[in-house]
Amino acid sequence: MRATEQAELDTLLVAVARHDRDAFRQLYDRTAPKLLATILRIVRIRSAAEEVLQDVYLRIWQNAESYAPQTAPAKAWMSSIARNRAIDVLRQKGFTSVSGAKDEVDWYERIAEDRDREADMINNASLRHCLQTIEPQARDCVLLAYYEGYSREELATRYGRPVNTIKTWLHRSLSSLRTCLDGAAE
Amino acid sequence: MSEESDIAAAEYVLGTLDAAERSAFAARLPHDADARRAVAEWERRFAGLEEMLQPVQPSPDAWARLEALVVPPTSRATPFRVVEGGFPAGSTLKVSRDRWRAAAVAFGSLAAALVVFVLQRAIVPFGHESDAGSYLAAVNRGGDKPALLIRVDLKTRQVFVRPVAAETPTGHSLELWYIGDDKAPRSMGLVDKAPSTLTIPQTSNATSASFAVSVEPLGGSKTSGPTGPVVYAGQLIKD
Repeated sequence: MRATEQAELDTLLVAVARHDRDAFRQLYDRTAPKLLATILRIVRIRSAAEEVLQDVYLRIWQNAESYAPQTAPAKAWMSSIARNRAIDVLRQKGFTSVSGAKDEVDWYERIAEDRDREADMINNASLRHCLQTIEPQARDCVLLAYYEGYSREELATRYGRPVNTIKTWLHRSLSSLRTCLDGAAE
Repeated sequence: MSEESDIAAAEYVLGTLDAAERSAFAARLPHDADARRAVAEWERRFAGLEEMLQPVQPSPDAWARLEALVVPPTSRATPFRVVEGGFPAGSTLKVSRDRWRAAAVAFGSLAAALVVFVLQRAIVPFGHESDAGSYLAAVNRGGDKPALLIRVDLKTRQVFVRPVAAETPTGHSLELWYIGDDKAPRSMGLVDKAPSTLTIPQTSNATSASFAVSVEPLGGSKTSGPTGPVVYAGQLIKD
């Protein structure tokens, strides 16, 4: 995402805090497809995803006042609401992630291939590099959890390992990601 | 922040905490600035991942459903005598309205299923009986048949509820609530398929009353107040 686009979204969200409906419409048009994609990967069921999406935008409308442009881009702020709601719904309803679904994506491969794409080079270059430093199975656990809402138990089933092993993998991966990403940022 | 707490923040962002751990961590956030900062940091670290997702267009009517829920109700004001959610600002009624609004968000999906028929509302004189004491609220599905007609006769203190095309979500009941003066919402019973007549409590000043319809478990709210989303709320204003 280009910086100007990011700034435009920030401005729109600030306007939404003043209950500017035109701004809300624009913000929705520009961000809903991405947020729906995020939610849909996690909750899997289209109708449920659309319901979560609506709930997410209601929260955005109602909580926009608490958004501070200096702390995070609008997109990140909205996206975290979407992911949190999707995961809440997934955990509360006891939905399970579908392993081995037909549309299964190798996320790391996709991230690696993204190298040549023009958009978002800066954001993902260090992330791509840091993901590369993690052991492949542990890395896939992180990516499956992020994109598809896998729980530790589901990851344990998928990899045929005890839940504690998955927990260790996750902790180790997250810890080295943090070191790597924060180091790259300095 | 301890290593353990920071990893918990990471797992919260990632979504791998189990339900109990997740709600425990979420409960910490409002009063733990360090935890909030840690969450923000992890969100920032992962932010680029979202770029890998192919956008998915929401269904064409999604915006209309959303707009119906967020538009400040008074902005749809018509020259009629009903004010949407129009509880007097600063009154104790506001408390219940806010609580209901919170419930409506919590039950967002259900409200969405119903809100289509509360897009437009109007209150008009009922037939030719439009003397000063009779009001009619029509809850419309935009351009379609009204979902619910609520007629209030201030002389006899009777409320006539006539469902026309109200859709009750499967496994739920619609419950009508009366809010007189500064009192807590009082159930006026379930909105049935058949027309019904209800009586406004004697102690209330009906001219300042509000009515609301909420979605409740089958058979009605198990508590003394509304528990589900309010799909209609209007105040009667004396003409």
